[in-house]
Amino acid sequence: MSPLDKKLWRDLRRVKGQAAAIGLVIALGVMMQVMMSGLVHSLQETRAEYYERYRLADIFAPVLRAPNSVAAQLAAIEGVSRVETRVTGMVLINIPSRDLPVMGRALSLPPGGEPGLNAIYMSTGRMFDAAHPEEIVLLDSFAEANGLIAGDNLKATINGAQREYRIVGTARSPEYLYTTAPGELVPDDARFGVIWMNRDAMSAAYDMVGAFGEALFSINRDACEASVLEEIDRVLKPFGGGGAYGLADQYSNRFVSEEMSGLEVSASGVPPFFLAVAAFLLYIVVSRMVQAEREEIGLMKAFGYRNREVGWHYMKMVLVIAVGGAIAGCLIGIGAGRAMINLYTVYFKFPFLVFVLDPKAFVTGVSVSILSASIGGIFVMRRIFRMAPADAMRPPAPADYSAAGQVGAWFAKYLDQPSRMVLRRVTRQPGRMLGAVIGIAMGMALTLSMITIYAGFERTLDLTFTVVDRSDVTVGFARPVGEDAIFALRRIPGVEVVEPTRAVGAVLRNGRFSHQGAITGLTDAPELIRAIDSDYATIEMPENGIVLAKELADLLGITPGEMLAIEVMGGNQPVLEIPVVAIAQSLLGAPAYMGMEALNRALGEPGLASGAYLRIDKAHEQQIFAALRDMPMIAGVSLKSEMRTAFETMMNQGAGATRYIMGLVAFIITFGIVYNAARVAQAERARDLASLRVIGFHRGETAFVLLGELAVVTLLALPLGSLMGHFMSSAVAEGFSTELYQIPALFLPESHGYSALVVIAAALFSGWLVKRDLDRADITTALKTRE
Amino acid sequence: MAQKRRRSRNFLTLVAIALIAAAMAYSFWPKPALVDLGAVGRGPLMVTIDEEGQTRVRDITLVSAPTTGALELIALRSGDAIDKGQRIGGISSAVPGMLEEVIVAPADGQVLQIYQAGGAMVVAGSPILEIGDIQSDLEVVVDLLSSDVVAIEAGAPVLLGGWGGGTTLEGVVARIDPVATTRISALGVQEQRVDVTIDFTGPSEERQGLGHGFRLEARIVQWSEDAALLAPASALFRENGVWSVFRVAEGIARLTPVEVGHSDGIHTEILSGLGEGDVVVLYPSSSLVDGGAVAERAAE
Amino acid sequence: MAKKAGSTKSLTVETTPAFRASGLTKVYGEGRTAVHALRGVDMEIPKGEIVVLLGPSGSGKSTLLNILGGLDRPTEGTAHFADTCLTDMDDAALTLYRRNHVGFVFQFYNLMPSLTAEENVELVTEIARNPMDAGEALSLVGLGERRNHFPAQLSGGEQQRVAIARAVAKQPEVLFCDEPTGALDSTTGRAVLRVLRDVNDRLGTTILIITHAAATAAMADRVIRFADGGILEVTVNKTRVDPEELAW
Repeated sequence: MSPLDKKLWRDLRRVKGQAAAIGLVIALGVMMQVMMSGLVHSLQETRAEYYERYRLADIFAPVLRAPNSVAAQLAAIEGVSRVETRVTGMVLINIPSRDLPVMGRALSLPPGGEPGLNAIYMSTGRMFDAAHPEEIVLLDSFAEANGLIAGDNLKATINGAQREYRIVGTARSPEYLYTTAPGELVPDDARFGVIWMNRDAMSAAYDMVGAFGEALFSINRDACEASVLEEIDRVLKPFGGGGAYGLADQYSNRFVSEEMSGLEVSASGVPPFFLAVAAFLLYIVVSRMVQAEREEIGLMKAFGYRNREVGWHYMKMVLVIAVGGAIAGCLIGIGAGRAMINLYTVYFKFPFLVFVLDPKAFVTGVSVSILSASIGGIFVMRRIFRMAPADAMRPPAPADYSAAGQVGAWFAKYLDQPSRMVLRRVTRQPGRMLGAVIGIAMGMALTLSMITIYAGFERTLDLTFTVVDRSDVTVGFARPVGEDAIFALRRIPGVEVVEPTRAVGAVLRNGRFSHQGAITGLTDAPELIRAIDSDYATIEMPENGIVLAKELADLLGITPGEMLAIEVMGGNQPVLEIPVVAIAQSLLGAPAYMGMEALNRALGEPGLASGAYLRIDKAHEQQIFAALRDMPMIAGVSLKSEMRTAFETMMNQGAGATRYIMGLVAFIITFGIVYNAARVAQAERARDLASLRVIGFHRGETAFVLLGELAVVTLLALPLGSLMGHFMSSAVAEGFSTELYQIPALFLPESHGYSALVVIAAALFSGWLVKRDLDRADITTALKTRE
Repeated sequence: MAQKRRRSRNFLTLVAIALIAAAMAYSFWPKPALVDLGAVGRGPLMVTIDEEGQTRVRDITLVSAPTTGALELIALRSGDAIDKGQRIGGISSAVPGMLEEVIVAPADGQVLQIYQAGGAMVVAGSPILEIGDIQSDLEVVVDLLSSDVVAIEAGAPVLLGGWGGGTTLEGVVARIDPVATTRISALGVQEQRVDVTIDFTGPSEERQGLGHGFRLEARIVQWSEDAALLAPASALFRENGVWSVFRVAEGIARLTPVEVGHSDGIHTEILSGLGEGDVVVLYPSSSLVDGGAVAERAAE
Repeated sequence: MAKKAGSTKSLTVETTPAFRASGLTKVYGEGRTAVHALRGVDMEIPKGEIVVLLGPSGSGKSTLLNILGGLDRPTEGTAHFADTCLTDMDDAALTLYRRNHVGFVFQFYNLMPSLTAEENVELVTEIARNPMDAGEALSLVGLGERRNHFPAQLSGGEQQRVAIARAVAKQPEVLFCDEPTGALDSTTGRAVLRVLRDVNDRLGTTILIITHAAATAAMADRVIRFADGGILEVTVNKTRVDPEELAW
């Protein structure tokens, strides 16, 4: 190995702490890149493979009841490659351990077992036997969540009649990676089940013999989905259809897509920031080193080493750290990606895993680290090139502080010498100090953004479940019911308030923007379920108009006063033109509200409710649930406390979980920057500090000179970091919001407090490490070194 | 001359620590939780049993054919006023030579329903039309759960609304059937129901347009009080089984157990634990603690 | 005790020597690569003398200075300053010892570049028990008018004189100088040595000077020659030469 290379390794060993810190920052950036994009790719591949293997349909077309013969017409539609019909229906499942029955969906499978589309993957047990109509297959996540296994009996109410079934197997389906109770937005494995039954048995139970309730389609690759959907709707409209939708709008798939796009955002947004920080730090460390070694550099030049040979030597150091960090990041990224994949596979309930490394990510990660490090390195090289050998070898004249001495002279009168040293050093090279301040401020800003997100998530929960929804229980009816049902609910002892609502599916259109969602009709002066404005006041439901959640209004590009076209998917399916009257504040879903009376009138079905919100006396809870359980017209009961828990769980897993990782990462970056600043300062002051020790300053007094500088920089960085974080928070909050929920950027003093604490803790810890080193430094050797 | 020793570094360190401590104190000073507030006051409270009901004419006179024969076309329509003695129509016997039998209205009122419009053969005894006095003979019938009926008695005041006229009519419970029958509720459960008859107490001019068999909402007053001490019902919750509220004084919310009386879902009678003018937290969230600072949510 | 130039030192016996070393040994490293910087050195330095330590590099003189100055510890042996045993002291005690009793002057001045000449001296006077006034110390070395200048604005010799003022301002009993003239030209070097002689004359400070230049030995009261980690010989000068008259 050439002597220069030996020097390189020894130098690296000497600054191992700093090199490790910078390398760590680079590694983290590359790791996130590799891990996230590997995760996204693997999940996408796995999902695609799963859908294909189990022939998940491209189009779903629910109808009320269509005779089987219609299937032939559907198959003839241009673009359709395959049609499969099935019987579907709602079912109420009695779980012994739960007070309330749980909603579920029943789907038919052909008597042979294997359907043409939407096949299922048996996890345990076996498929049902056509000879035994009471045998069913249960969705395995639901079975697991409720402690049911193959061989258990299941009591379920179908079409008003309670029957007993036997579970012969549990299965997974690509159609139900996520399940959510109708009307709810948040998935919860335990509270919505799926049952597969023999088609013959099911047709009999649901009074659908010779008919189907849903048609599934797979379309040709080159077919235009929109026109196929139109055709399907046309054919099925007489049978109560008209609401066909593509896979992109299927709830489970949409949810998975949302989660994946959240990961993608993290993959592309976060790593560049890390790498920029690392490049900055690397530049600082190497440039200081070059300054410290001017004599050696001068010597090398004097001996005839060319500029580029000397420059390359230092560049090599930069590259070693950058490449080392990048490689470490790649390896950790693979490992972390694998671990997370396993987590996500379980989370998404994929039955198998396709692990795909994205080679692009490696290349991007490594090359970007090298590039950003090199940019810093080039600035350093310039300085090397400019050094004249003779100048370099002369002992440096003491740094000229005469200009700095004027600054704050009036203030300096009151300071002791160590304090003056700190002050003058800070003011002498304001550019360098500013660089350190900005670096630390950025670390703090990042930390502040992450903390703001935590508060934002809390706010979303609070707003949704304490301000907008103030009920205890939500009830859904099997069919829209009249006022008498509402009266009947009120009569149940312990029920204090009943607020009926009417919800219908609808397509909202504003020009070329459209959204398929639901409109909820609210009573006048609602108390339990409200549309609220930005001041938390209830929005009155208009006589004729619609209130949109802000997210929805933005999506449709519409403002109050403009007209919105609504294609209602219920009743006599009217198409309405309604003015937007107000914008409501909502952080979950994207609801649209109308007055219940107005909505019912438009539907031509006055006085009907599809659900109700209840406030109950907790002491009567059990009796109320028992009463509700026995009412055939009640299709589903949801407890707000359970919905809240489901939402919280969802936010804490999945894409929302990355906020913890990123918070940790933010802390690591902050620490890395502060630590580096301290180390660099220490290296530069080594000699001065040794002199102080010789003079007779105690360790603590000596440390003050160094740590004082660090303290000034840190204290200046705090308010700047607060400000920068303020702006960064909005961007980060936006990044964490999904179509399902929005995270607001909150501006709370305590967020700033926490992030300041992180920086201060990092500074204190770095200071402690540096002081420890100072104490142990050999005074005599420090004195002999000349810079 | 001895040098004055300066220890500015200690001073500066202390100043820095003090600044940081102050900033931390400011950031972490507990902020009051935002809540909606309501007040306890005196006012009327009514507890009612609410149910859908229907109007009906008390005495319906059925006019039937006195003999078999050909009934002439009847000029009357459903809703026409009819006086006692007014000719309705004539039946001509199949037997030749027999005189036409004339049918006259036996009472005042309106034609409620026409069963036989005439111009056809009728058999003796078959119904022709119904007469009833909507104006003065209209009553309301409601079927209540047998368990609810026990709590009311004849003479209880009733508020009648939702009949389409926009106003609230008054009535009294006239009669409660002693027998319950089994009916299926709107939610599909079997119930024992008792018919309760309600008389209108106001003049018939108030309820113009209200006919026979029309739907309305009856609220039978079970209990009422003119000046009860009332708290918003949304402020009350069970804490370990005991009814409690969060009473707010000087920005602090205190968990206060109360004794409650009747409630109509919107207001609840407070028997003890709170006084007039007390401020309470509406819809208290589970994160609210006893002694915590609260502030009213911004409401502009 | 003022002495006139060229006079002989009286042979009064001082009660306690400023320094006493006994069996002082310093070994760096171990095994085959061990470096024996000092091998069982015994010596005594009376109070108030100017002592010059001569010898080639690596002979142990700097090591001895460091140990006597409380900057380093011996591997074996003891060293005493007056009645106090240095080798028993812990770090904090050694720091106090240096603070209150010892002044150092080094080849490369070791001034704080961010402080003026006066402030560099105040650095020391602020923490000393019984300091001189900073201005007085600077005047002592002839730099009274340059008090507000930063080291960058002073020549090498001036910087060294400030270093001496700084060392002397705390009125230490002992002054250690490690190659004080190494970085200076001969004229400036002589001026600096003159200052040292003045300090010894006026304040009675014991001064130990390490130097390469053998000619310097002439200005000392005692000359100790080092070689290979041990003392070769100790010479006591009957007469001291004035620093201005030294020639090297």
